[in-house]
Amino acid sequence: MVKLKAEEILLGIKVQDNKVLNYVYDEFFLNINSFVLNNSGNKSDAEDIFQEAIIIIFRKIKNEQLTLTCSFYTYLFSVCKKLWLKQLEKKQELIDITNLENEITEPDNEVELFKKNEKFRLYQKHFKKLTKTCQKVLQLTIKNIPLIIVAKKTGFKNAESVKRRKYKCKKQLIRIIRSDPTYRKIINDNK
Amino acid sequence: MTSSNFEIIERDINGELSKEEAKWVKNRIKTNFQFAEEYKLQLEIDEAISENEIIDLRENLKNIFEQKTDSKRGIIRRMISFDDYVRPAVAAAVLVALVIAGILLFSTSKNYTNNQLFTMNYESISAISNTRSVNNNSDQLMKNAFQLYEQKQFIEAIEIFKNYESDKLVQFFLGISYIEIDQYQNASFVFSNILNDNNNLFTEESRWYLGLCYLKLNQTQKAKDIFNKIANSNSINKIKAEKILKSL
Repeated sequence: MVKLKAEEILLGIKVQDNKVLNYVYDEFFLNINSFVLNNSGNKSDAEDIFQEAIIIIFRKIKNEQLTLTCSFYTYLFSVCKKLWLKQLEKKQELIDITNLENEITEPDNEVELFKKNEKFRLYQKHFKKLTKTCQKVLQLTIKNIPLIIVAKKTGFKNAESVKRRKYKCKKQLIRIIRSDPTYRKIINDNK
Repeated sequence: MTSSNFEIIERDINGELSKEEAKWVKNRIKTNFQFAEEYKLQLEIDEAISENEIIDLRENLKNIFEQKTDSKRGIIRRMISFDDYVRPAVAAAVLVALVIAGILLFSTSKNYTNNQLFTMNYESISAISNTRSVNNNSDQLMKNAFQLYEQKQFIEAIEIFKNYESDKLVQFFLGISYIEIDQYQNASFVFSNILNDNNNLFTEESRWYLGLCYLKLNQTQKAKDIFNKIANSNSINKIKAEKILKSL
């Protein structure tokens, strides 16, 4: 397999090139998986951590906050490590995390980014559980697209029906989010 | 969450409150923790669900994980079941299935002309009654133009729409009006201009109609480029574009 340079990987993640995403998985997932398995996690945890690390890297690339001073793998591994440490803290596992804590120093904006990512992941997870119509109505209306166009695109009678449905869908989404114990936990952690 | 809180917060986020109401909300956020939390949640949800790229990326990654896991399972399954005795039978069955699939595919795929594809996909669109974009007091002329449009007096509407070059909403309806009177070349110019400025709300729809114009103008390669772009995006017209591409 041809090795990609760090810049090529970052560009691939930025444009969501599936070949690059597959490459990242093939090249690096096994090591991340071993790390998580060796530190009280399972394969599903490893997949979650790996996925969220890529999302955080994507967010940083988009915000132009990412300048690599090390290899891509070193950076990816450091993000996975931080994410897993936070998970362990939440799970309050009685394990020795001293070694894990080495090297972990985070700038303030990174703490905020991790918190935001965790919250938004929860919101987006529940959003994807709504009906396709709800998803479409919510996504179109928050873009400030005139309601009459939204009505046309979604098969509603008029702008007022779209507005009513939007309220209904958003209320439903809020209810599901609030009933998720993870939400309460995130809110309490952030106080 | 109380229903009244929800609605007043929503209206504040959308800029629909009077000055007094907005002031009340601002004050309430400062003095009532629960209200402030509800407000923050509603705002954050809007931001989170507008992150199309992140939602897509998460979905992509999930698919990659599933494919990798499936391919590993597939290898194991093949190792278990494909012994020397069953292999010829399975191979024959696969061959028969492929032949049937081929026949079905051949018989169901249909070639449409560009003109037919246009007719199958073009829908006229109703004009805006949304007052956010058309200010009642300041622009009676524009309102008149939309009324003319609604009454299908497209030539008269075009004459007015043409004066609002910087208003992408009006330009969008100018493009549609040209289509309605069969001036596809003019329509394609208008939609291309809208697309040149990425920072507006009508790029997605303009791209779709531009593709349809190219179909009508028989500029197949240009149409393909446009529909490919739509098919590779998260556009609401993605599936329709994919279907058109299959016929092109």
